[in-house]
Amino acid sequence: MNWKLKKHDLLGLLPEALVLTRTRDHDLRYLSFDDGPDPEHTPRLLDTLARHNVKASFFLVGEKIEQYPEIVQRIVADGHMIGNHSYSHWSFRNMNLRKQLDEVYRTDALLRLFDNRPHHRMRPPMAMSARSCCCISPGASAVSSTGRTTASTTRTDRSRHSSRACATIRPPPATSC
Amino acid sequence: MHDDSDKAAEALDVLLPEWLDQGIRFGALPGNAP
Repeated sequence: MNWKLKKHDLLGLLPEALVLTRTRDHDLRYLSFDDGPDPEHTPRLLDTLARHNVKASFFLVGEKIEQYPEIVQRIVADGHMIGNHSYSHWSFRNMNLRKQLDEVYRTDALLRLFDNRPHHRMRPPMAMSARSCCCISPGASAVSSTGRTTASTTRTDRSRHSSRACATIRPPPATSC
Repeated sequence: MHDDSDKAAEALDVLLPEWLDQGIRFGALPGNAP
């Protein structure tokens, strides 16, 4: 089966819900999902991933973590990674540095309650690269809260909300700041 | 999540086994920041 065809099919079906990251390892892919936890959709995704014994990453919104902690518990218990997708999911574009950092640290503190990790990978909301907060390299959309690029993803323009439609075509760069 | 997340689950249910059969592996993004 042709990988490109299937990737296209998948993105066509869910252009606003999925990030698929390709890596230097030709046979390894990272699936990640943004904007959760959601009481309806996240459990279904978790069921599907469990059925196929596939691990993924969930970039979560702080406000929703507070609303649905039991879902976050299940994400972690199922062996998936949880990442930081800001607290309010407001765009960082017009947010001052203090507010951006508050969004990051506040959500980091919430995530820590579930996985005991001090810091988490950061994916800014609305596909915004918070340049004053995180260093980001050209073509990369996923950055860590420490400023290190965690994955190189190229976003498509298929969605009116560009943060939702993503396909990775490049290996992770060695860039750090 | 968004309204099309149900489609995500459905599509993954179909595509994941096919990809796995091809030898493609899936994983969570490696390690969070220390």
